[in-house]
Amino acid sequence: MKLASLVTLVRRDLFRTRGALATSGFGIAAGTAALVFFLALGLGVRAVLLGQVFPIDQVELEPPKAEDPGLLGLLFSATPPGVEPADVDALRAVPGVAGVYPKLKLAFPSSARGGKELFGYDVGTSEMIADGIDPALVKDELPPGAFPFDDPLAHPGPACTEDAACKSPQYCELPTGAAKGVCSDPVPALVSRYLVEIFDKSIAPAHRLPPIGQTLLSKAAGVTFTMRLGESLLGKAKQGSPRVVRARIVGISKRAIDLGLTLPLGVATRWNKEFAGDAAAARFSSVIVQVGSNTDTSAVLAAGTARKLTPKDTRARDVSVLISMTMGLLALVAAVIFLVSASNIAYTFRVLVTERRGEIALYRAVGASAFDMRSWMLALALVVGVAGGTVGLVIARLLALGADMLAASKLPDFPFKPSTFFDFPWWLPPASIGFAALFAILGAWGPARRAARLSPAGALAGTN
Amino acid sequence: MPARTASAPRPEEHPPILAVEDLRKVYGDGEGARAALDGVSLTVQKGELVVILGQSGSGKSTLLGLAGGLDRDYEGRVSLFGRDLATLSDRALAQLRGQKLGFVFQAFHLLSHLTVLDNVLAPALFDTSRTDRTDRALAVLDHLGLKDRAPDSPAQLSGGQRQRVAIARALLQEPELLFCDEPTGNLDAETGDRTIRLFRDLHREGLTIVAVTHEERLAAIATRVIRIKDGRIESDAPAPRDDSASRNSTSDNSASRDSTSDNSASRDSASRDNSPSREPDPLPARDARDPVLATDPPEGA
Repeated sequence: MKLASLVTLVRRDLFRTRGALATSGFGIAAGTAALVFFLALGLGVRAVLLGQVFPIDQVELEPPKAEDPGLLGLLFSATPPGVEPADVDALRAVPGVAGVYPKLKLAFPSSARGGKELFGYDVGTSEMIADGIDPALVKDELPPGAFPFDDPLAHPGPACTEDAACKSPQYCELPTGAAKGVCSDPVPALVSRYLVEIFDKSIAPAHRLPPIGQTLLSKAAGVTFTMRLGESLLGKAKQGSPRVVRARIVGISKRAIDLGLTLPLGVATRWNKEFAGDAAAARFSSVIVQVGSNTDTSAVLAAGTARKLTPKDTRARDVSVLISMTMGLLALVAAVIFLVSASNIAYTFRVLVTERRGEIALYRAVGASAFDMRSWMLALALVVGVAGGTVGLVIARLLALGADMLAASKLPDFPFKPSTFFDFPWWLPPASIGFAALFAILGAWGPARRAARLSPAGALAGTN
Repeated sequence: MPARTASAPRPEEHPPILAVEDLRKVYGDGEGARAALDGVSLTVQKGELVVILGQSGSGKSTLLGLAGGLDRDYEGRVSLFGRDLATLSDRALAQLRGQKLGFVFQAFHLLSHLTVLDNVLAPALFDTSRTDRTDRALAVLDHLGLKDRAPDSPAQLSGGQRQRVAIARALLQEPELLFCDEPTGNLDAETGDRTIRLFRDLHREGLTIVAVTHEERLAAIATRVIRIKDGRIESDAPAPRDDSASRNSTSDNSASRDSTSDNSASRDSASRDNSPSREPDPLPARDARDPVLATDPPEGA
C-alpha cells in the first residue's frame, strides 16, 4: 500500500470515528500531560536544588574522619589528617575532571561581628567557622565589577603598624611577631545560599531581624565586618597573638562553606601558619573536584577512595536520589495513566475492528495484504497517540504556567526561589509525544493483529 | 447469446486459469467437525462462464472463497493462473487478488461512508503499481450507467444500482477472473434479470466468470453448470444452449456498440483470446437501447 493510500484511509477514519478516537486520545493526552508536568517539575526542582543549593557537579573529598583518640589524645596531640598536594595532582589526572580546588579550614579560633549596614546594628558570632578556597573556583560565579575575591595582599598598601595608618576601609595586616604590617583591603568573604536560608528561617525570626530577601541580598555585597583571629568564646589559639582584621562580604556562592565564611585560600594558609603552625598550612582540609558531567562522578569517587579520601557531603547525592525517587513515583503515576489509556485504545480499536470486519474483509478481497491492514490500524493509532501527546504537552505547559503564576503570587520570597519551578528541556516534547505514540500503538497492537488475521471469506459471507 | 465461432480456440486447449484438486474444507474439530467441501476438483478455462449451483449449505460459497484465495485453510490444491495458492505469501496472494481477480458479493459490501466513486476506487488503494484510477472508475461507472451517481452515497441507490456499483468496483482493476457469490440474491426478480444480463455481456466481452448461486436462472447464461451438494460435485456439464436467447442478445449487443466508446476503459483485448464472443471494445459506453446497460428504474433511489 502506498503512503498516500494509508493517509487516505486514516484521514477517512479520523473523520468518521472521531468520537471514539477523541475519547481514546483524551486518555493519552491526560497521560502525556501528567508525565510532562511531573517530569518538568522534577527537572525544575532538581535544577534548583542540585544546581544552586546542593551542587552535584562537584565532589568534595576529605580525609577520613579522625578516630577517637581516647585518653591518649589528652596526652599527645595527634596531627589531624589532611589532603596532601600529591593527592590534588592525582585527582587532576582523573579523566572527566574539569578542575581540582583545594580547601583549607581555619585551624584556630575566631569570632566575627558586623552587619550594621544591613540590620541597623551589629550582630555577631562568638565562634566563627571559616575556610579558604582557590579563587579560580568562583571566578565565573561572582558578577563582574564586584569586589574581587582574591588575597588582598596581592596588592598590598603602604606599610603600617596600626589600622589608623590605613585609609578606610583598609586595615593594617600585622601578623604576630612582625614589626611592621601593610595596609590591606578588607579580606573578601563568600557566604552560601544555605546560610542565608538558615538565617531567614531560624536566626532572623528568633532575633526579630528582617529576612534577607533578594533586595537585602544584593545590598549585602560590600558589607564589612570585623573578625577577631586567634580567640573566641571557647578559647585562644595555641600560638600567635589574637588580633582583629577587617573582612567584606563580596558575594554568595554555591562553593561557599554552608555555615561560615569562605575566604581566599592564600589568606587561610597565611593565617593558619600564624595561629596553628606550619603543619596546618602545608596540607589541605579537603579538595573540591569539579566534574564535567554527573557520569564522571563515580570515577572521581573511585580515585578518591584509592587515596583514602571520602566524599564529605552526601546531601547532593541524597537529594538527587530523593528527587529521582519522587520523579520515578510521579512518572509511575503517569505510566499508569498511559496504561489505562492504552487499554482504552485497545478496547476502542477492538470494537473498531469488530465493527469493520466487513470492510477489512472487502479490502482484503480487493488486494489488501494482512500487512496493509495492520499498517492501517497502527497508523491510525499512531495519529491518535501523536495528537493526544501533543494536546497533553500543551496542557502540561499551560498547567506549568499556571503553577508558576500561582507560586509567584502566593509563595513568599526566598533566596533561591526560582522564577519557574519547571524545566522543559528540548528532548521532553519529542520524548513525551513519542511515549504517547508508543502506548497508543501498544494498545492497538492486538486489534491490528486481529484485523490482519481476519478471514476475508468468513467476514464477507457473514458466517463468523 | 452469441454462438461460439468455429475459429475460436477451445478452452481445453489452454491451461486452466483456475484449478481445484481434491479440495476439502472442514469446519470445527472433533466430533463437531463438518466437511463443507469433500474432495472437490474442477478447472475453469479462460473465457468460461461457470455457474456453480447448489442449495444453501451445499458448500458453494466456501468453494468460491477458497478458489478466490479468500480462505487459505483447506486441504487439497488450488491454483490460480498456474500458481499454487498454498505457495504464495500473503502479500503475493493479495496482489493476485487485486490485479487479476474481481469479487461480487450478494450483500454488495459497499462502504456506506464513501461515495459511489470512492467505493469503486477502493481496490486502487492497495495497488502500488498504478497511479490515479479515477478516470477508469468513472469510465466503468459510465459503462454501467452510474456515472451521474458517482458523488452519491450508496444509501441513496437502489439495490440494483448498488450491485452495479459493486460490479464496477470488481471491474476497476480489469480482472481476468470474476468471482460472484449469489450476485442476484438480494435483488428482486426484474433487477436480478438485468444483473444477469450484465454478467452475460461482461462474459461476451471476454471476462471469465465463476458464479455460485442457488438460482437456476443464472445458469441460463452459463457456458458450464456445476451442481454441488453436501460439499461434493454432483454434476459438471456444459450448459444447454438457448439459441433464441442468444440470437436476441447478440442482436441487442451488436446494435448497442457505439463508435464513441471510451477506449480508456477497455480491458486488454489481447488477454481475451479464448473469449467465446470477443468484442473489439470490451467496455463501450452505455447504450440506452441495450436492456442490460440501460439505467435501472429509480427503485426508490
